[in-house]
Amino acid sequence: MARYGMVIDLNTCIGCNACTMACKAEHATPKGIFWAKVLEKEVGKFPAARRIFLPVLCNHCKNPICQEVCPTGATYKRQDGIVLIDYDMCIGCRSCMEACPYGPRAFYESDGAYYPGERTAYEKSQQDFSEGVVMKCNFCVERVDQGLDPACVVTCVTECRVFGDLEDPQSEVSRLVADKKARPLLPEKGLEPSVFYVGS
Amino acid sequence: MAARIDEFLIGVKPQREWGWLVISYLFLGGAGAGLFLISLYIDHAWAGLLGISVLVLGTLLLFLDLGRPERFWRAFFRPWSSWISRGCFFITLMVLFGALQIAPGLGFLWENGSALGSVIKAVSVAAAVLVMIYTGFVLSPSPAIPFWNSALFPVIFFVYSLLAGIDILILASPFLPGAPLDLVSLERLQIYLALACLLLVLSHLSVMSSSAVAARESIRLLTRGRWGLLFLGGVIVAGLVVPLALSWAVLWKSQAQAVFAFTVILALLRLFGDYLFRFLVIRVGLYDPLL
Amino acid sequence: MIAPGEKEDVWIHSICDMCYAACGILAHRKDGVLVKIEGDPDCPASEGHLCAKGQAALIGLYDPSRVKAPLRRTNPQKGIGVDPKWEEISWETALDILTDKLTKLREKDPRGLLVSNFDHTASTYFIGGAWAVAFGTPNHHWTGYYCGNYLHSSMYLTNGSFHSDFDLDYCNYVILLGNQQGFMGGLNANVSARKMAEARKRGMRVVVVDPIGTNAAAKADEWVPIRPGTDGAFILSLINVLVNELKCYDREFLTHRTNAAYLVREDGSYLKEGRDGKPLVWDLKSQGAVPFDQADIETALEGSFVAGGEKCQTAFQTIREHVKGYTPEQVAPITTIPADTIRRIAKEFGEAARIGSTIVIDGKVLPYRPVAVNIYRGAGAHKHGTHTALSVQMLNMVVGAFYVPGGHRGINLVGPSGAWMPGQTAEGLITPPAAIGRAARYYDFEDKRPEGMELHELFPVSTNRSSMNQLNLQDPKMFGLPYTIDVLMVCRRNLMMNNVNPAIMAETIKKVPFVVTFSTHLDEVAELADLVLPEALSLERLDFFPNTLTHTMSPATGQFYWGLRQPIVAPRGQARRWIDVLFEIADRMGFLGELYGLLNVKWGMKEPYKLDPAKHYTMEELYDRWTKSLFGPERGLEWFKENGYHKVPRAVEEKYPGPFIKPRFPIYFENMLRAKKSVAKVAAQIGREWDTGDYQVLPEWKPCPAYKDGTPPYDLYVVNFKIPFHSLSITTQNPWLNDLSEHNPYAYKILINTETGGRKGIKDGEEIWVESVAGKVKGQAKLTECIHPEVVGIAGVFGSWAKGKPVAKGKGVHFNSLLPISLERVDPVSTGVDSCIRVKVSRAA
Ligand SMILES: Nc1nc2c(c(=O)[nH]1)N[C@H]1C(S)=C(S)[C@@H](COP(=O)(O)OP(=O)(O)OC[C@H]3O[C@@H](n4cnc5c(=O)[nH]c(N)nc54)[C@H](O)[C@@H]3O)O[C@H]1N2
Ligand SMILES: Nc1nc2c(c(=O)[nH]1)N[C@H]1C(S)=C(S)[C@@H](COP(=O)(O)OP(=O)(O)OC[C@H]3O[C@@H](n4cnc5c(=O)[nH]c(N)nc54)[C@H](O)[C@@H]3O)O[C@H]1N2
Ligand code: SF4
Ligand code: SF4
Ligand code: SF4
Ligand code: SF4
Ligand code: SF4
Ligand SMILES: [Mo]
Repeated sequence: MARYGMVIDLNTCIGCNACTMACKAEHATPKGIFWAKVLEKEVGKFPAARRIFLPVLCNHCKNPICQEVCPTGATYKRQDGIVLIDYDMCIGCRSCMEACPYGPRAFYESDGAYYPGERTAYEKSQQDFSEGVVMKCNFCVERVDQGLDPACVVTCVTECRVFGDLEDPQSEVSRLVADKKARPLLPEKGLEPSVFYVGS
Repeated sequence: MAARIDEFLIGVKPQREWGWLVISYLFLGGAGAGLFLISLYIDHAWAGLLGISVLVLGTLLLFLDLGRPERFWRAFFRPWSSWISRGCFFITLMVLFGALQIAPGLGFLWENGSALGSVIKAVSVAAAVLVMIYTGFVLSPSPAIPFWNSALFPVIFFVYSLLAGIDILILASPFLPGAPLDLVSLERLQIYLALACLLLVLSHLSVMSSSAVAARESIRLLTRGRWGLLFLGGVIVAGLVVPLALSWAVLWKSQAQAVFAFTVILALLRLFGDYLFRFLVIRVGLYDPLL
Repeated sequence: MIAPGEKEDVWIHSICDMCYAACGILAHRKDGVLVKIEGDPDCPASEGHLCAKGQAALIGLYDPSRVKAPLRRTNPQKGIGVDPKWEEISWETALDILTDKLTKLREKDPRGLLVSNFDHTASTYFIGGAWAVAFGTPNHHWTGYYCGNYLHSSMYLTNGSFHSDFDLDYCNYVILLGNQQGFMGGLNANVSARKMAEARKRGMRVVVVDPIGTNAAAKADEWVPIRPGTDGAFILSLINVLVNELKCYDREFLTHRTNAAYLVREDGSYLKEGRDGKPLVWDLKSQGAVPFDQADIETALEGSFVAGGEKCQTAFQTIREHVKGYTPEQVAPITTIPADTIRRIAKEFGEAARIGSTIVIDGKVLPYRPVAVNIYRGAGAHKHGTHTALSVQMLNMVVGAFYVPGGHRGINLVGPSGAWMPGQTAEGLITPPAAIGRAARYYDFEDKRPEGMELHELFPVSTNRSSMNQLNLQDPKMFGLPYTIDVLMVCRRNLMMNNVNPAIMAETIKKVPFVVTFSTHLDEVAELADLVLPEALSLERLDFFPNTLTHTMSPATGQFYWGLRQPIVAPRGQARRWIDVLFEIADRMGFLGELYGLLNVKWGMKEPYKLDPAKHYTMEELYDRWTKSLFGPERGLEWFKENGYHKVPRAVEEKYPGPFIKPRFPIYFENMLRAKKSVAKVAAQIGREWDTGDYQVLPEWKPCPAYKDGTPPYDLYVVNFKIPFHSLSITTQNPWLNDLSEHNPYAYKILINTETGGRKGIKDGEEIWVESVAGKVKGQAKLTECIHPEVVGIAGVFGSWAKGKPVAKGKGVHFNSLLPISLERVDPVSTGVDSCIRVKVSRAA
């Protein structure tokens, strides 16, 4: 069985946020909610200062604590490692948000339309969630199931995001994880993320 | 829209999901269960009823906090992994068995003292204890928020719940039907419990002060930062140290008949400290920086 | 277009219009609703990737605040924030009003029409120009405060093309001087970002010289913070170190491919063979001066000589002496860049150039100079910006990194299959191919009284004198033009947001009796208009080739290509394409035939596709004819709709024309002497004192006016920079990009160095005022280590105030409100408006 994962090259990422917007466009996420984000940080003092970009998304952990704490079973892990939320089951208790150290989840409380008034025809046709639930990156399962790469990967202008099967030693992600000492975020939390980073 | 915008920055981030509804539940749920437990100890059915009512009120708030309250029943579906799911059972058990347990005392249903009665009592006691501690397990196993990631929480919550339960009892005592309460012995109990709280809280802080970045920041917020005054002044001094000292001074030595007004003031102080403690614990929940 | 409710699921080829990079997109339409936009993998500009703006274009299509019908002003009072009291009218009425105005104007004096539009729609833009010519006005190029004034002029002059670019395929060391090429800014942003990433993985070093720690600086191997407006000194110092200290220069290239060996007299002019003959060089074999192109000579690159009894020296000798005034020690206190850093960068640059090395590409042996210094908007947007840009070009030439693998290059100097080639002056110097050069006259000047609003004759070396429109409108008597502007027509140009000083701009626009705008939104300009015509959004439009080979198609795209912007959904409400409306006006006014005639020439229409001036064509028919005329009968409009792109690979000679063409590149600007004389004559004709001091054979660093006003209270410089997820003002009304910007730590903020802020008692996140002599703006302070301590940074073109742009309104900070405009504050050669200004900051408390 596959275990899907992603490797992001931080040396190459330029912080352009194309991924952020591609994810939004792919999933019509509500106002204020981003499944993909690019976080920033400054290191060093002027003039030896530098900004660092860190693209983040759900890590689709091997040990997803979000699933463990979820009281309804709304959060579940597929055979291929993709961690998903069943929006019809979620009760919006947000314990998954509290439990995950990575912050990819968002509670869609209400009023997520981007323009005042009614939702646009696009939002109506693309949103498969309702208010009052928690949502997060779904590894573009709708694309992956068709054999496509996730939206953020496809659009990434520097091609610094690679998606693939971590279980397949021939895949590019596996090779990157093997050769380049790719590491996940906060490995000490023990969740075994499937998203890895190379470079800095 | 004046909602706080979470900037896309790498750094220590506060949890923002759990607010006053959850905090109030933690407080009321624990206190209600604690009160119920004490009611068994002092064998006072009306006190037991009060305890159950407080728990139900707290649970109602928790229910209101859900994004989709009408689907609450789904929360019972994962007891083998989720402490929240387990909590749902604990609450249900406590309410059901507690009701059965106190029914005879209120003149309903069945005769006390049967074998079934012991089972009911045992289950309700167990359920009450679990209600008091499970919220600690909701917080503690999560590696996300280091300040919460401590085995002490279930214990702290247990002791604080008892403390609060008794305080509510003290406050309610004039209105409670049934046998009059022995406020002095209750107040004595509070001295031990408050002392235990103080020791537990301080040891939690000392353990956390050598923990992850976010935990240290939580401690900073509690002791020197934004919440310093409320924590040190409110939780520690007003909520624990002052009642302890006064209680000690007045009750321990002199066998004097406690004045109701005196215990009321102490109870209010402790309840204030207890609520504040739950509030601050939740508010200073911080995530570690991702890089 | 399908009827709503009908079932379908299609992906349509089209082209993004969120910036002029014109990336190919595939638009996913489901049951009549656009549900996703993705990069078109077949498009050489996007290669299947889209930036944040391109992705976000989708939601903009659904904006309820779009203009849906023609509107007429009923409130005669005009001003910022004054409600025009719009009245909805029919297109018929609107066009009647407009044609009536235009017909009267055309009878009176057609020059009284001023058209202002911008080139995102590329070839469509050029139709606008042809339309204006057919109408009879020379005034159709008001692009205001603009990136290109100094840039395009300097590039036309030195590399014969419209733009500055460099070869990311081979470059190993690049200095980005105040620009973010390769980091989602500049030319063909997407493919350039991809190639930049590749190049950096390959080990290319990137040195970013910028007062602000931009996204480019974040990824650079070295960020060199510089004091604004001092880049000229820095570059001249690098040249000095290279040619005088390290003796590192490409002798071969300089001698044979530039005018560096030309002999110049003491007054700076060429020593020529007779009065109008060819410039001479010194032949070491015969020890005498001979025409530069004489065969079998051994040309001296350096030295002073006596020829024909006159003292002379090579241009290169002059250059070497000229740059001696720019030692790193002298330049360090000007730029704030330490002398060792300057010296080290010069050394690294020189070494990386591998002078003398060659590379074989497609069987051709070519010089290999994998270095470049690139300039675009930031470093040059200053008074004397032309000098800065010319210094940059000199540096590229000194190491021979000019149109060869790895080095600097312009945009498509040579057309597909040699469709166009650069020209050559009598002096052997390059001139832009006719297809590229717009009114570029660098070597012969007409000393006549200016007639157009842009005053071309007063700025003969500039290709875009747009800021002069503003000055002329402000004070019509200033240059004594024989007419005034009666009608201003604006399309896709935000003269209020993107120009400097909106307060003055509003007064200026108010002076024009009739203002018509083609608008998608009631933006800041529409607020001052008399008539607003609803314009279709790009996703609803058919546009002629959006990326023009001659102007904005970076060779990084690998192939020459032609693509189509086709509508994905029908225009909202009564919106129409502005260019369609122009054709209709021409028809109503009776000059459609003339317009067709001009287009026949402009597009080089071949039989049988030539337009018949007696006929009418729809936009689709025009397009169809043009594409067939270009590529043959099988490549009509339908073919493009189906297939997306017509592509032609670039041959080596087209990618790296340097070694293959004859004309030389000027590194010594003798023509400036002639320009100077011409300008003086023109100025005398209009009776004005004129500063011709910047017409010099060699660039110098001169301080902007702001450089010396460093006295309190105006103790800091303010600098503007672009961010990867916004383009100019057009993206600010996009709610997704706004959402992102609100979460971004920098976009909507005022950046101040932590220490500087601390000194002024400013805390992070606090509201502050930034104030210059021209205006003041308020915003949230962001204390950062990533900015020069003397600088305040404000991103983008934010701070909209138009009610018709509710998403953008009040978001971020409007930089341009801080800039003044006056003749003293424009670059005297190119008219570029100086964006160097001192400010003070204070807590808004
Ligand atoms: N502060 C600041 N000012 C700048 C710059 C900067 O970086 N910062 N950059 C400068 C540069 S480099 C340039 S090139 C200029 C560019 O200046 P402009 O060409 O004025 O730039 P835009 O912001 O693209 O303005 C486009 C206007 O067209 C409208 N619009 C968008 N799409 C359409 C459409 O499909 N049809 C029609 N009819 N209208 C449309 C928008 O609402 C907007 O008002 O600005 C210059 N000014
Ligand atoms: N994402 C995005 N891409 C764009 C555009 C956009 O708006 N957004 N606009 C397009 C257009 S119209 C243009 S013209 C190009 C412009 O492309 P660039 O020239 O790459 O754009 P800017 O970011 O404006 O670059 C200016 C830089 O110069 C710096 N700077 C300012 N003053 C000085 C100075 O005195 N010296 C030095 N060394 N640096 C200085 C600024 O801090 C800023 O980082 O980008 C095009 N592409
Ligand atoms: S990153 Fe968080 S939300 Fe995602 S799978 Fe891991 S634990 Fe769950
Ligand atoms: S919010 Fe939804 S997904 Fe998260 S734990 Fe609760 S029920 Fe599960
Ligand atoms: S994988 Fe898909 S859902 Fe996840 S961040 Fe990328 S685009 Fe969004
Ligand atoms: S699209 Fe790629 S380069 Fe841009 S921010 Fe996202 S990961 Fe980084
Ligand atoms: S670079 Fe420009 S044209 Fe390309 S996707 Fe981005 S906004 Fe659109
Ligand atoms: Mo520009």
